[in-house]
Amino acid sequence: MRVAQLGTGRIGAMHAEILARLVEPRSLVVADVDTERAQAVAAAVGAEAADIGAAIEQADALVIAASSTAHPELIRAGIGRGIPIFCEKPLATNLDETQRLVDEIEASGSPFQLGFQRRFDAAYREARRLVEDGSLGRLYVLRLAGHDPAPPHEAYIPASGGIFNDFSVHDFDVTRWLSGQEIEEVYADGGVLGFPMFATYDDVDTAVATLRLSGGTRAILSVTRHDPLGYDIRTELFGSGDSVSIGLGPRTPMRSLEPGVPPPAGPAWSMFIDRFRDAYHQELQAFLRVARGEEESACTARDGLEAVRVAIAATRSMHEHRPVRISEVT
Amino acid sequence: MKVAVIGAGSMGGMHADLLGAMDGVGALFVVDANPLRAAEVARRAGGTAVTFEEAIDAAEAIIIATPPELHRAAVEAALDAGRHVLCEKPLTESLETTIALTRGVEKAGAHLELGFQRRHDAGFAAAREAIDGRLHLVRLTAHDPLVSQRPAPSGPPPEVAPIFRDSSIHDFDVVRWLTGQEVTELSVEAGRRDGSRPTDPREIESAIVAMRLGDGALAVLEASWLHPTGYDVRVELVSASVAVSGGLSPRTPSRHADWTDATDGWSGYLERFEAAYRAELAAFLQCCRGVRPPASTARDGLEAMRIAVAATRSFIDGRRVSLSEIAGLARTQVA
Repeated sequence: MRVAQLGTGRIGAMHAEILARLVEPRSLVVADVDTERAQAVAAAVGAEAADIGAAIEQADALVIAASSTAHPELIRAGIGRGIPIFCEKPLATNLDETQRLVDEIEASGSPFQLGFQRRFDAAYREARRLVEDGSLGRLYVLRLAGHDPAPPHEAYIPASGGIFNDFSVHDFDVTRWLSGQEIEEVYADGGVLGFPMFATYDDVDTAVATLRLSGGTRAILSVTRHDPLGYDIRTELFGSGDSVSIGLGPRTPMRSLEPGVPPPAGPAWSMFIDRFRDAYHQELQAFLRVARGEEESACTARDGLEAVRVAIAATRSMHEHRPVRISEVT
Repeated sequence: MKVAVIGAGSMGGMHADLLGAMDGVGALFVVDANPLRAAEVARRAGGTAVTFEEAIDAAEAIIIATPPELHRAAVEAALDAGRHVLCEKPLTESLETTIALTRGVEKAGAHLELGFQRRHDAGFAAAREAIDGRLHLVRLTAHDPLVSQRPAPSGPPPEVAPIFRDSSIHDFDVVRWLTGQEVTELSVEAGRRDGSRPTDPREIESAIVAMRLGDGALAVLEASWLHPTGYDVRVELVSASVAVSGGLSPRTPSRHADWTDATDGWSGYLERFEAAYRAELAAFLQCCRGVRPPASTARDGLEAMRIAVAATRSFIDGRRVSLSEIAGLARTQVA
């Protein structure tokens, strides 16, 4: 099977490195609008570089991690060839286009997997197992916390879709996935506390969101674009049977001040590539099984759409200072 | 120092036990509406069971741990007699009486502290000290052990939900104390243990409160009366240059893959905060001797109550509520 890695930015280069270990190096082709970067990444992993059109033409499966604005066109090229497609989030940069794309993907029959890598993280999977086998009992509350180590470059902000679309969309997805429930209503608030550049683009650097789920579970999310100690992604699940946490351990960038509690052994997680390295590996391995027809996609285009609808509702709630039902977002 | 404990239930009994073992307590008096209970607690703590009037007459320092409906009368009697008072939270049972009492206390310049023991907890105090640079985010978690069944509510719904008045009021105080900022707006999502949303706020068993503070920082509280394996009270802070937690330890009743299995989670507040209660009483007695300022004031009790009332209103109305909508007292003093 010949796999084309489209896009060789941070995530694309990481995908190429992982894919080079999962498929025969000569079965991997790497492409980017920046041909020099594509060649450098290809050389680093022992793959071949090609221009984007040629890469798609010869591929049996696409792995897309290009700029967000290019995702729809590349997905459609994959659909046109009827081949399996993996795409990083987001599917598209606005809701209408996302909805159209999801319909096209579903109608096409091309196997499709979206890049919500937390679904492949060992602790997230264990938590989901505990929900499914009833160990957690009735799920009362999910606590989700996400801290980026440092804000993105200013040029990234206007096209990012805002903090909820760009960052919290992963939390909205794992909320749905862990609980097995749909998110029905969201209340959100946010502020610019450390980095005035966010205000320039009507975005925030710190935010919270309260979610009500279809099965009565509630969730509380807090996110910040700056954590002085590192990259911190945690989820806690609190139910009638047990209380468990994901992401709390020796590498958590948070110090407990309880007397006698030693600081985490460290080193603290520095960024997503570090924190979710194994999850990214697992998700591409899963995609190759999907591409070979061995299993169904564990993360569909529609999952991406549902998470984006919550992100849009959260953004609206923050701007309008009121709880927003997800059904308002169509 | 002669000290009296008014009310010999679980809180009053604990205060009496701690005082009985404390240096500098010359005499300990215990008062309860049930004389048998007062006698039992007094015997256990090495004190004397007396009447309320005898206690106010004899003691210099008064600790009030009666049901909230009796706080106001007890506080006023003690302050009228010129005593130092430490009153358990909530300051009184309602916002109206809390405003009236606070006004009276401030006018008289009397010494009244609230039983906000988390201010005396080592982890919480260290978190407050650790804040460096502008504060961005505060996360509070507060879960009481599961109580199998709560009494069915009767009569008209109150202005303040029990979970906010009796439990989250600690967290509302912590937000103000940790940050030095007032809550300006909040929004609540809450329900029963089965996930349903009652119309009567007395039926709330699990709640999330999203708060905005005066300087724009955000604070979230997630609270319940439903913890199946223990008592879980924690805080996390993120500021421009630190990310710290108070309350996270091997005894936190939440399991995680990498650290420890909390097979020995905190059982309840008496155990979790025993050291804090002891520190609170010691600080109060030092304050009575004039060697340190009060750790909290009636105003702190009032402001925490106002947040609890705002949270209840947000729940009932299903909307964001501004603290400016809630009755209070104008700021007359520089904090």
